Amino acid sequence: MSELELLQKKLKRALSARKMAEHILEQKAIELFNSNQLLKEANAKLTGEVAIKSNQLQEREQRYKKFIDGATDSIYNFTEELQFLYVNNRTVELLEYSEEELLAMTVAELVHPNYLEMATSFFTDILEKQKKSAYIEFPVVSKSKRLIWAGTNITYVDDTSGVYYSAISRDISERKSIESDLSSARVHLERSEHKYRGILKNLQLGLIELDTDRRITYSNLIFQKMIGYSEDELLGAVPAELFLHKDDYPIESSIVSSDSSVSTNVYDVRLILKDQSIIHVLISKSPIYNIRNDVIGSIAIHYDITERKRLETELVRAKEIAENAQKEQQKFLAVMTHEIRTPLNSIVGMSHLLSDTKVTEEQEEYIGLINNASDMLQSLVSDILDLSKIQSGKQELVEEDFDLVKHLRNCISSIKIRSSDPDVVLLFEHTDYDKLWMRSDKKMIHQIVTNLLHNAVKFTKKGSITLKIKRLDRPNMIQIAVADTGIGIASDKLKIIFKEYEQANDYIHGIYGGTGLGLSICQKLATKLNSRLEVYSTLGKGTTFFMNLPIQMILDRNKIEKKIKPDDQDLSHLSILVAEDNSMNQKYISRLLEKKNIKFHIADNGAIAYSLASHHKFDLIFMDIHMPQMNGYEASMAIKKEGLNINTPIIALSASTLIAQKEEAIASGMQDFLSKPFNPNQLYAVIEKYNPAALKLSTDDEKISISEKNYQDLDRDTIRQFFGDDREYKMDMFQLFVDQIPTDLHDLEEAYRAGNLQLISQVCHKIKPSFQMVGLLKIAELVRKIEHEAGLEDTSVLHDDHKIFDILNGGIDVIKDEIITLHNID
Amino acid sequence: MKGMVFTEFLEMVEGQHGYELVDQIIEDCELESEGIYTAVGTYPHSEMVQLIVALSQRSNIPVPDLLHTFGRYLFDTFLSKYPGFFKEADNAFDFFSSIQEYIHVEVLKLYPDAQLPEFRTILKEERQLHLVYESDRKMSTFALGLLEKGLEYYQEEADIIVENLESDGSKVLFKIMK
Repeated sequence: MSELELLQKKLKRALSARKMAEHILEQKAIELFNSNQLLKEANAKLTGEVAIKSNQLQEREQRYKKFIDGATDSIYNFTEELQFLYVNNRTVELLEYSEEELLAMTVAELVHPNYLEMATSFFTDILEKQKKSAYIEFPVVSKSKRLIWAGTNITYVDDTSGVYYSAISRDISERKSIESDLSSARVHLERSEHKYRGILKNLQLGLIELDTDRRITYSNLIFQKMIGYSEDELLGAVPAELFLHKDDYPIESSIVSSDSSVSTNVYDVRLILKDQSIIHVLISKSPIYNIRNDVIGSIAIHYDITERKRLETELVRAKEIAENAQKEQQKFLAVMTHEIRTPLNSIVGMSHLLSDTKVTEEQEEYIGLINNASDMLQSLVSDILDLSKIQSGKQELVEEDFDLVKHLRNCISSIKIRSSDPDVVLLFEHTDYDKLWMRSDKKMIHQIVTNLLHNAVKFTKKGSITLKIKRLDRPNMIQIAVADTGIGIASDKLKIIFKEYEQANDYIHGIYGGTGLGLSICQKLATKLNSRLEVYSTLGKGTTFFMNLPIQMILDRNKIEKKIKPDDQDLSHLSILVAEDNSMNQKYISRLLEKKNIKFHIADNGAIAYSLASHHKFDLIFMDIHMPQMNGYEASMAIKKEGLNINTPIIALSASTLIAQKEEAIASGMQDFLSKPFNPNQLYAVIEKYNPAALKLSTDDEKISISEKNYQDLDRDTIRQFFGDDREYKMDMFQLFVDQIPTDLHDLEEAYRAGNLQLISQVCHKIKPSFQMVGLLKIAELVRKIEHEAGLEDTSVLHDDHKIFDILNGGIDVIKDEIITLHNID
Repeated sequence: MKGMVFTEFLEMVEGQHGYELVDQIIEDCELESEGIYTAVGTYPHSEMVQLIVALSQRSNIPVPDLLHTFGRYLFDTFLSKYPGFFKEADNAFDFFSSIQEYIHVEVLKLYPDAQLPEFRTILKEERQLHLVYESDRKMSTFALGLLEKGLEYYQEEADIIVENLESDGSKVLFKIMK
């Protein structure tokens, strides 16, 4: 190929390439044009948006302006030459100049002349040091020459509109005035500190100040005199090293380690003086604070209590001696009464037995005298013992339910037996009550009333002695009174008669005898019962003692008197074991048991008792405490441990009445305690109490027992009483019962489900007579108990509902059967 | 492939061997574009392959060697046309390691349809730089030519060790050691 041809080819290719390039570039130009168009549109759109945004911006600016104008702080701008550029409404308001006036003024014209230099140099400082923001307080003077303190935040601004200050001021005049008050208060404070320092200086109180290392930084003259060291010797010394008693280091260090920085401590320690003598001081130590509330030390005030301490120690010693003496006395009394009681027991017992033998009239009189003398001796011993028990706080309140009327009647009868004076009538007035079932300590009331009656008998030779129970106007309060027509008590003696070992006069003691303890004991017992014994008396006319007693009445019992047990129980079926080493007591008890035809075994000591108990089953065991070989506690524990008599009640016999002994007896498994000497009735009472038959009756009475009784028994006698031989009438009534009771039981079930005790009580009250009438007496009794307990709001009633409804429905079934039987007879 | 690569390639052949060889290889290949290229256009990659293979046959020089030579030639073109890229870096290592993250990114802004190889830096220390070349076009010797001229431009001396990570040459490791 020739060069020319080649060149032509190259040129042709280059031309084609150029055309191609032109084409491509044209395409690009069109693309560019299109892009440009799009850009223009976008620009137009943006311009519109900018307009909207700047409108919004303007609105916002308006809002800010309003906000600034309405601001409670004064806001303003001013130039480097202090010329105002802008002021908000608050500024105008505060300074009382108009906006135009202010804009023609400078800040310097407003600042109080005395502060002008300070303010201008402050402004310059901001400018020079290019501070972003700074705070200053200065007073300004308003148009009406009012002085206003302004707290001002100033910012230095350098923006498009130039260089200027922007300030926000707040009226702080009020705070400034408080500050000035405070500073005058500080002056007062300093004066008063000065005053108190003066007082402290003149007081007889040793004062030291300590730094945080507990070194003395100051001591007053009194302290220097107290301790014997000079001011120089004390300065810089540590109290614990120089004069604190070694044994009291722990007190001091416990004070230091406790948070003593916040609290004041008061404690007493011993100090060793320079002359080595020891004094007791009471120290009151408080922290000292600086302005920032940091503890910078403490101040300790010392008060010499050496003399007081000495008296205290003596007092404590005297108290100890007195207490020991009292304890000794009580112990002595307890031991003595015990010693007296043991032979007395024999005398009482034997004279009772003696009167049972065939005696002549003369002998009977002598026995009577022995009885009287030993009774008196017994009551004397009891009085002394009672008093020592009360004094030692050992007399415990034992509450039980009883009929007060019946009980007081017994009291008066026992007195009647003792006093056979025909010229004195013993009366019992209880017109307000036939019965008065209540809950209280029966023994205490007995003791008080008996004592008062004894006194009355003693001091009344003619006329009457009246025991009264009266209803008081206040609820649950009754009055018990003993009034006599005796010798009376002089009004000046009325105050002392309740004191221990005091009697109205020595003459009385001469004629009437006695310990002078009776009334004192009565008063103490009355206190235990939350009452108070009171007295009024006319000399020669008579005396009335009375107490207003708060009581818990048992209303239900007061309506229905139930005979719980027969008057004279047949005890002949019982088998009793008596463990007693004293042969005289053995004989006494044997005789009493024989009288009631009770079978018994006598054991001479605990070991024999134990051996007998392991071979025979007994209903009751009497156990003397003090016996040779094996004492009563050991024997009781052995018997209760295993064998035939695990459940047999054991009654402790002892001449001691100490509560501790009683407690030990209970702890060793004994049930009760019979104190020697006892009379026949006391012994029989215990036997009756633990007679298994009686026991069953009484527990049944206490609680609703629903498992053991045969509730479906029909009492034929009752039915006969109600209906006689009228079979028709009987059948009608039974049918009525069967028709009606289920509805009532349904109501009762509802009441149980709702736990509505009041409703339960009501329904029971309603259905009770129906059950009685058809002869279901046991069910009637159960219903009565539920009624009673529900009435007392005893929620335990609710627990056995299933069993109770079984029993009640069972009753209906019984009557249904009865109806069928009656029909069949037809 | 950008038209500039074709126009530069043909200019190189013309400069070194005369326009006759250029015409021959165009004629050899029966190209769709008929061998008419403009720098502002874009043409199929396959035409470049055809042209190089034709040149190799005509000149008896292996294709990799031709690509290597072209790489060295094109560096100067890049340098004169786009001096800005070279001013960004002070030294060869910085420049090489900026290819993937900077230069290729900028190129794509100018030519959104450009197809560029991966050129990842996997190790950069004071005395050595490891780069991985990855492209279906398997033009690693072209890249080698560019790298060599790069070192010369920054007046630095270093050995370039080439390791094939894929046997077909689509993935290659360059170890540049000073």
